[in-house]
Amino acid sequence: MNLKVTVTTLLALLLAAALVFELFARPLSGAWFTFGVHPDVMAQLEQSLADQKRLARLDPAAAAAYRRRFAAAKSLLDRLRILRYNRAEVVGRYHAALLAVFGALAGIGGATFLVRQLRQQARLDRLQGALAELSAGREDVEIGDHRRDLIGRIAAMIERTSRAVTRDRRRLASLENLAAWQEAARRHAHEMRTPLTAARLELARLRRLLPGAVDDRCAEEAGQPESCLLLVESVGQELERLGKFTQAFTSFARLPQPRLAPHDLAALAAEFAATFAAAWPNLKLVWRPLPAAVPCRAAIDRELLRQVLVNLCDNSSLALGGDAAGEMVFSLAGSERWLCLDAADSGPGVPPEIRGRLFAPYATTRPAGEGMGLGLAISRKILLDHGGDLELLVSSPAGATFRLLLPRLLEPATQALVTAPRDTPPLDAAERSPRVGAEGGS
Amino acid sequence: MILASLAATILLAAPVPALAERTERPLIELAGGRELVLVALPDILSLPEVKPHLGGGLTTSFVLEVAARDDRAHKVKGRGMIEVRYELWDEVYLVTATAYDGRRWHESLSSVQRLLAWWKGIKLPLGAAGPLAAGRPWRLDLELSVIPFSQSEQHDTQRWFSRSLGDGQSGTEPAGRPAGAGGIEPGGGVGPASAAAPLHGVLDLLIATSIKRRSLVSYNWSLILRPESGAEHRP
Repeated sequence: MNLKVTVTTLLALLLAAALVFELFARPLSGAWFTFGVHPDVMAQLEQSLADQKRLARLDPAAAAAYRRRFAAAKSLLDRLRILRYNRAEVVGRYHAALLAVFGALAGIGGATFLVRQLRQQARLDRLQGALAELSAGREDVEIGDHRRDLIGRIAAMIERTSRAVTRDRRRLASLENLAAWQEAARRHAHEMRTPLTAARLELARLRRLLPGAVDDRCAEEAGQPESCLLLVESVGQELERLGKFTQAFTSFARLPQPRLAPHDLAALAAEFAATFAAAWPNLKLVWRPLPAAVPCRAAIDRELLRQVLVNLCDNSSLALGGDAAGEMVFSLAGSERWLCLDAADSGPGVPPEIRGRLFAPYATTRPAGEGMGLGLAISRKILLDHGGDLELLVSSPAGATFRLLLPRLLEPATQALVTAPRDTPPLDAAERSPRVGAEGGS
Repeated sequence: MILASLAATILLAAPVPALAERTERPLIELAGGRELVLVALPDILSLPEVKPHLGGGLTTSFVLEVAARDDRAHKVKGRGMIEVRYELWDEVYLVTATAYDGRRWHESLSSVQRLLAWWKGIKLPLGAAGPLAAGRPWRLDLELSVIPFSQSEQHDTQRWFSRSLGDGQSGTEPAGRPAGAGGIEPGGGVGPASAAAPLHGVLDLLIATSIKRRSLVSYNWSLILRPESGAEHRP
């Protein structure tokens, strides 16, 4: 509401209230007084005085008692006369007191109303500014109004909308980025596959020809037929490695779309921890079940999700090294709309220099030839295809925690929030906290 | 001189023009060379604005205030009080005159005629002459205020009213105050009883400040006193 309109309305209301007060309070202020010093009362008291004197004369033995009654009546009469003499002052003062109380109440009420209106106006202005920022495309709009009234709820909705828009925008950017990488990988694989196949065929022919040609050519060039065989085997190994890379490119380029089906994420995580308990010798898998049996259903492709968890465990196991032992703890938390499966290892953490492009393809800390750096990119792509996301929640020398976000399947009977496990922030807090390397654009 | 006297008369008569015509002039003398003594008062008691209050049973207070100055601008002020209460049971007038220094004289007069006679013969010290220069005329301004009840009656009513409104009780004291007390406070001060009256809260403040001893009527005279010959009305 416009401040000018508010003030005008307030003044009009106060004026109307003051008029009504004057209309009713003034007659009422004098009414009670009129009853107190009514002429009939005073006439009766005067008559009583005369009666007591007459009675005392008629009954001298009880004169003392009559005189006491006479004194009491006269005292009352005197007081009433003094009151009547001061009628204007008493009534006026009483009225002034009422007016002061009314004025104080009206003033306090009016001031409170005005302050409230001003504050609400300021809050509405903040909402307007936030909406303007949102419409201008700004991400992560924060209003900071967390009251539970209507404006506070609208502010919270705007912030949630901003976060959702930001998240979707980032997901879209990541998907576009990954799609570009996938296309590049597909082309590379395509371009490499033909010459690689030809090279393999030629090498196979060479292997077949090699025993008869040793004496003629290889012996002349290398001096020993065993050297020719070793060279052929070495070329074969390199071609095999190239084939693996090409296969990896192909796998990355042709990631299947998830075939979603409702599954209980807690059950899947528990099953994974049990099934793969011995898969990594230096990594112990731990599943922390929820304190209460709360359904945590989500639309999931079991195989793809399992691939994500395997990738995480692979990375963790490799980061620990062959001699060190550690553990990977899975825990589940969530809100009404989201489930988050946290995978926390006790490894050395993610090096700071790679955090910013952790989910980008070919981002790896391993030596050349030991890894393509596609695992996390593929994992994130899988999660994004699920409508969720994968992010690095925590990274420190004590370990790294990855969070798998999945949209929760809403069921009428399971609206209760999942209790957050220890050391696991709720989803909203995680959404508000800056993500570590969540942006995979490189 | 004639014009000045005429102007002074008009000026003095302005506040109460009707009264100036209906009443006589008071007379003040210098007694013993050191006290201003009121030796004659106009018949205020018979005036219609005063007479009805005399027989009602409340204490009618006549407050006299005099301001004197000589031609050297020396000033003195004095005050006296006469209180008259008609005792309804005994049907007598109880009169108390209080001088400026607290001296008091009590009279019990059985009729209004005796009251009027006492009034005319009153001699009431109003103040000490102090630094006023002798041998030169003094100008005296005398004001007589008529208040329809005494200070103790005022405080008694305040207490009773406050108690009645404050806690909802009747506020009636046992048999009231003694009928003959008269409520005359020496020097016009607040009496011990009223000083001890408990005033609680805003309501008490409201009541205490709303019940006042307004003057019913007041009279003013300007007099010239020649110390060697007594006071006379200013021509």
